[in-house]
Amino acid sequence: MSEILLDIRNLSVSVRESQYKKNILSKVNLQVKGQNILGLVGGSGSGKTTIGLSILRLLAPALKTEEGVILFKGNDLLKLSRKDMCPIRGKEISMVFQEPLYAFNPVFRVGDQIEEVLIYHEQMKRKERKGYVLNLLEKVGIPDPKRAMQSYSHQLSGGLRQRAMIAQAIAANPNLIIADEPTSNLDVTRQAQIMDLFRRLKTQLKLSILLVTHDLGMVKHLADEIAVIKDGTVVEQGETRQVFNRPSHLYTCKLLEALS
Amino acid sequence: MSKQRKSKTQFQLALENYKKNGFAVLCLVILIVLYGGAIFADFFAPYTYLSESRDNSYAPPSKVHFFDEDGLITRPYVYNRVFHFDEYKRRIYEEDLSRAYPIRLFHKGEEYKFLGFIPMDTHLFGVEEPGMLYLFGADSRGRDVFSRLLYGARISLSIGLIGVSISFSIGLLVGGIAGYYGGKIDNVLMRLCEMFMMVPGFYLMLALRAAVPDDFNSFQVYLAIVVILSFIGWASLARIIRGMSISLREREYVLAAKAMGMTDIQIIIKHILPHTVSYSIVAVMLSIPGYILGEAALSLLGLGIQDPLASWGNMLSEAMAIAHIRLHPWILMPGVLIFLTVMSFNVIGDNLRDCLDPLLKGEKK
Repeated sequence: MSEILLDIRNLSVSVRESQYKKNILSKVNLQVKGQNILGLVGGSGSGKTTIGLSILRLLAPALKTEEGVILFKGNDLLKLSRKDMCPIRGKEISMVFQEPLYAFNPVFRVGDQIEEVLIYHEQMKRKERKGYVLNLLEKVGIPDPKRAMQSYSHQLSGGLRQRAMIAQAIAANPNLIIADEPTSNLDVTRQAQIMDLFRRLKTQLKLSILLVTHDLGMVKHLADEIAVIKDGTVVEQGETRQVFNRPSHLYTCKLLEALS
Repeated sequence: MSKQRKSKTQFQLALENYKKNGFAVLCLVILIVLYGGAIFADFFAPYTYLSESRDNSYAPPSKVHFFDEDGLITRPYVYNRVFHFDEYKRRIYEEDLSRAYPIRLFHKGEEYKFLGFIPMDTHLFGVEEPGMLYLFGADSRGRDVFSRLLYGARISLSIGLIGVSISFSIGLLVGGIAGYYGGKIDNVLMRLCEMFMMVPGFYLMLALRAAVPDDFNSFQVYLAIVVILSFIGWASLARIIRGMSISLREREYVLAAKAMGMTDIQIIIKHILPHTVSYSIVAVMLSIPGYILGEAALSLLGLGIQDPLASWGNMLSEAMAIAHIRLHPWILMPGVLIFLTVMSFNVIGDNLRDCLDPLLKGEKK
């Protein structure tokens, strides 16, 4: 059993507008262990994405973190200043977005945007960086990395784009990747490939992955642990097999029923 | 599928669209000629902007002869002029046919420093002393208007570029920051912009000019004018960039850039401002004439570039009296060049707007 990398305790996030206040997350507890894939499962609007964003402190201005701690390697991320967050984002914790078409800036080449991560987080010479990016793209299984590097995001297919996004996320060798529904826009074969890729990267790069998804099938195959979230609270967290075999919460049962 | 078709870049597409408008291409050529003339002014000009010959005050343009007395084609030549006074004490110039001065290419004339540091004395063309060549006539002190136009172009044309680059860097940055952060910062910056926009441009220009010490040398005055002009232009740009920035900051790639650990200012410069480029290029083109006209207006009033230094504005100030325009119409030449430049920039800007706008693509013609 490896140590806990990310520990979220009692996290509450709410949206406020003068008198009106609504909790998006209430007292969320979540642990991600080192070199472990945690599947965070829940229905639409249950607060999955909000958890992901609040770890990186990228919540929309209307959302306020009310209480709780987010311990990453023992430091409370919520106590860090804006400036101190920058070296953590991308370098320690990075994010894979749901729709890479929008997550890449359309006016720059994909290769240049992956390179950006290296510019901000690694001391590398220009030439080294180019080779490194090429290497990264190969690592995530892009068949023609040279061409992908030169392409704009709209010129790549959905699967390639998602791989490029993953390449960007692992560029600075982070410890934790937050993958926000990484496969929901892909067809089943591509989903399987991306799942393979995640599994491979986990062991190769000693990564932990927080896999945010509503796809129970995917979690079943990929995740070591599962957390089920409903209406802003984590109702159940445990090892995948255990949760699938002996769900302890009614909502989990219903989810599993829906799957079969 | 051995041969891969390379897709056209945005730039190539824009260039293709641009070429469709013949007039805009012509305007581009005019600007290239004018700027080329300004850069190599001391080589193209037969005289320096200082050299005067009082005997040729307001001498009309030299007549270039291509045929000799027998009517045969010969190398072009000019005659010197002598003047006498008519009954109103006006100088009447007549050609002195006693000696012809052939126009020579790569003529050795007055010494100058090419591009400011290479000493040279070769001019593109000229005539031997004591002959004088006035392609566009002479001004009140007998200085060659053609040469002074070239030297003046250096100041008049560069002021537009430098001014625009200063005011656009300010405008882009202020607009980007205001839009990106929003809230209080936005409020303060936009109210500041409005303060600048509230004052009519020309009076602001005069007021700022009055604040400049009068013991400045000509170069300092030049810099002061550039700064003054760029202080006027940035506010309206900042407002528009702010609007674009507000909508751009909500894009997901901005969130992705944040998740990558970029700081706010890096995101503004790398991910927000590049998206405003197609607007900015057009805005630059359309606002350069404002700077050229601003300099001309200041110099025309005697508040800008001071004689003997030439700028199109202060050359034009000689043409303020109607009598001069009536008697020596060639001193209006700087006005013609200002007109050409301003028109060219406007036409180019308009055409660029059409061919950079992705929404209009293919719709026209």
